[in-house]
Amino acid sequence: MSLIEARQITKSYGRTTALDAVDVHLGAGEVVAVTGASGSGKSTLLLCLSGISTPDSGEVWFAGGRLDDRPESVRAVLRRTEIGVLLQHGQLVPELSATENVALPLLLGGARRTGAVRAAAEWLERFGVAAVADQLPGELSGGQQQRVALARALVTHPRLIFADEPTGSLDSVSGESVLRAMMAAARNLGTAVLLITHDATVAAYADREVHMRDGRILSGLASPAMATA
Amino acid sequence: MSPATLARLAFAGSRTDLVRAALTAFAAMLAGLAVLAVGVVLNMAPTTTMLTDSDGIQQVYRTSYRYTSDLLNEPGLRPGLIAMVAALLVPALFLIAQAARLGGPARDRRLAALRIGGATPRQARWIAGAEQGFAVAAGAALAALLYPALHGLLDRMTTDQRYLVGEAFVDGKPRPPVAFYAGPWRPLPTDTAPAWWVWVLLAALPVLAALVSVYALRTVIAEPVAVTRRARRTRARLWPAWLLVAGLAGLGASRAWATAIVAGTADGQVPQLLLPRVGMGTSLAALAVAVPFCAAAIGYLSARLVGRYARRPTTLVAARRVLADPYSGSRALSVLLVAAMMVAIVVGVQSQFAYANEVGAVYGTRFGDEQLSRTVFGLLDGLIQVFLWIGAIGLLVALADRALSRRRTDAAALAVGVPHRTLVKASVGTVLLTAVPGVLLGLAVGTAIPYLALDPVQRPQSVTYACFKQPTSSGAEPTEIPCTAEGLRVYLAQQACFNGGEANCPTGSYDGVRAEPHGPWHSTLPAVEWLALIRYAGLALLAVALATALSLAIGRHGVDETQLRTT
Amino acid sequence: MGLLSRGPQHGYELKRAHDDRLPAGKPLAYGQVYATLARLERDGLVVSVGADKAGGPERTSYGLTDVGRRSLHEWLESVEPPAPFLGGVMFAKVVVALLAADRDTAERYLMSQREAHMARMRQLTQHKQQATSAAEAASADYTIAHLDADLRWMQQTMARVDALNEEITG
Repeated sequence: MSLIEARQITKSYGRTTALDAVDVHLGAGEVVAVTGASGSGKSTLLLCLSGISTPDSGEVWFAGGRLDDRPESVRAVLRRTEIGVLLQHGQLVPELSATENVALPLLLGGARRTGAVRAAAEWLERFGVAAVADQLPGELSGGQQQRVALARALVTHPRLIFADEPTGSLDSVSGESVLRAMMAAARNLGTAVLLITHDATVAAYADREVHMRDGRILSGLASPAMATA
Repeated sequence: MSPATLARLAFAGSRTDLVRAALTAFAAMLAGLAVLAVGVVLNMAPTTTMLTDSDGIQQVYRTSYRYTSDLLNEPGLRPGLIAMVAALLVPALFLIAQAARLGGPARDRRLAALRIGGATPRQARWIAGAEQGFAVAAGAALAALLYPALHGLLDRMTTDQRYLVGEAFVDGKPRPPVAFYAGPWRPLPTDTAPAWWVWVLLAALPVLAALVSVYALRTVIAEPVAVTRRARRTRARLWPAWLLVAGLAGLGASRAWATAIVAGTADGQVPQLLLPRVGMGTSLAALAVAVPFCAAAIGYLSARLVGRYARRPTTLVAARRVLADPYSGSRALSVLLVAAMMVAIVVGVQSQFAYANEVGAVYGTRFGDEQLSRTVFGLLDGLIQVFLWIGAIGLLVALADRALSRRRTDAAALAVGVPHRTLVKASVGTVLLTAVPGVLLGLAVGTAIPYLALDPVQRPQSVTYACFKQPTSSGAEPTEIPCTAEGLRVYLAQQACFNGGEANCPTGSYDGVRAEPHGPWHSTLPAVEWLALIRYAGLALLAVALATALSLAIGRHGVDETQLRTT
Repeated sequence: MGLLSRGPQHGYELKRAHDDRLPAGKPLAYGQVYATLARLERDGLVVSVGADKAGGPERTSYGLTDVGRRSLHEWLESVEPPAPFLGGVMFAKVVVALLAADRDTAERYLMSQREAHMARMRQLTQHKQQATSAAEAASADYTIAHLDADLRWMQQTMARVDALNEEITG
């Protein structure tokens, strides 16, 4: 049974159709890359699957229950606890420190401040950005910001994280280190990953690839189980 | 979400957010003081009593004139007084709204990030509302604390007997026994405490502010990941023009209504003018709302015109900016435009007043008490000053905010080589494109209002005079002597002097003059005071241009290369 | 063989066609053309269909046999093993597909080649993550980078397929 599934979802913005009867599924612990050119609908797919937007038609199922017809408050809670989201930019609260940003989902969920801060510090340490824990996002480099954002996405031990071009504005070296950190943490926690990218080298980190063009899936062939190297 | 978390997230802010909070608190303090003032004025004890005199007729006796100014004493003037004090709330509330917009984009981004990070819409609403609510609460609290201090400071008393009011005889009949107030007299109603519900209102202000801010931010809270593919197309809306026409028509209609009621009232009855008064008030309010919006529409149209024929880049940029966002500019100017309207109204009313007295003096009629009218006009001037200052502060805030939010594009422009002076000129042009039509419109509407709201002055066709002299022996009848033009002139000057309450009045050769006006009566109106209006218009626009330049100086201080960093 | 798919051609026509259509490759030498043709004839994939004059090999026309045609199509439907420096072969395949078949075949080929490349890249990335020495990682990076370049080319060519088709068959 898949962890998250999109069934024939369609979404349009004005006259542009961003998604056209798309079927996608992701199993627990799987890492899937969604590739395609700009405007192919990848980001919209992420927005619909993560519950940030609702599709115009079709259904989104998460962990056996429907997602797209739940009220926004329920979806927001889900995004906090079960689903982590990593965007290209604009996700960290500029006025909170790195630690506070990572602790945010926990605090919003009602956790005590001391516990939340401790968990945040641990994650920052794990991703090698403990040194900038008290700085504001505006003072960090792109790679550091992404690692803080990754820590925030994982701090609630979600079952699934969505990453939208997480290394898009990073150079290849920083990008690779962020990806490695993400994959290692995900495999450790058993978290599934849906990775949106137009970069083939990034997509190569996934178990399989879903290729999109003009709002449709072109190929979703699962590769045979990885032959042992 | 624990209260501690709420507090941390609501107060998470940059320096701009701090300035916004401080400004909001300041504006809230002003609003609070205005509310308290209204509460005081509404709570003032009556200054007259209704008693039955010796003939069994109900009469109104002035028993408790406690203040030095008749504006506060006269019961008939009370509604006007309340209206004026209540009018102080308008600029204060406007300033709160303006302050709330400072640093808007950054705050929107913060809320969006919080929502993406997992805050439910409800939690986001709490955070947004708490931020605004706390600032307003601080201001209201300040007002509440300041009030007793002001109360004590402004409490003066005088025992000058000239303020003693109370007659032993009215209409030739002795006044029924009643104690009347014999001093001391106060210049301000500091003997009155505000009504109890004022404190409730004060406490409600922060809640109201929180609700308003939540409403204003509802789009950001609902859809944090906004799709920016659609370009906003703004078009000049037509309804403000209709509102303007409706307001003017309403004014004229209310006045006609009032005249009809007065004409239809039997002698001895008090004409029930409440409804026409309400009609006038509503029409004035409608006009006050319509003027800024009409200004925006005119600004939009003129920007279109200018944009088509502009030759210099600064003019083109200014025109395009107005086209992109015509309403925010006029919003910032709205209090100033209303002030312009008020200035024109006051100028018009004063001139009509003076004209009426001028005409009336010819045949011995005087309209209104000189001192009272001076007080009233003085207060109105004060009110206009308040509007002007608050409006200017509000404008400055809006402009500074715009300059700050433009930092990124300005930094890019400066980096590419656009001189700073060009940016300044473009910004000044943007503001002026809306300000010029706005001020002119406000003044025009304000000038029209007295003509619509007040009755024209009736001028008699001719006046015949009979001049008398009182013989030295008392008790004898005054004898009529022929009038001379010179003698009449001196007599009229003497009367004017007496009415003005001045000393050293010229002595005339007549002890009495009877003037008899003869019809037909002509309705006349005074001429428009063009010079005064032009002067005010110039001053207003100069102030606006200076405010813009000043705001850019503030903005420039912040422009730096960090705005251009991408990674 | 793809060049013959349209119809029998002379040897020198073949050489000219090759150099025209596949500008990225090296110009063929005549000797190489005839040697290849001889080998193909020996394998039964082409056959000489006639000669203009009684004369040498330059004047002989060659055509595809049925076996040859089938073999050509098999080749078009298959993918090359992903490795660096494939460029010329892939381009040739695209052109031939357009000549011998149609535009959809060319697109299909590109997509399948892309799948194969991606699978290999996934293998290499896993390898890299588990690599024990920096040298291993560096070597994997090298191949990955080149495969990435091919993938980019494939993407761009897929966008150009219609224009190419026009030029080649028009």
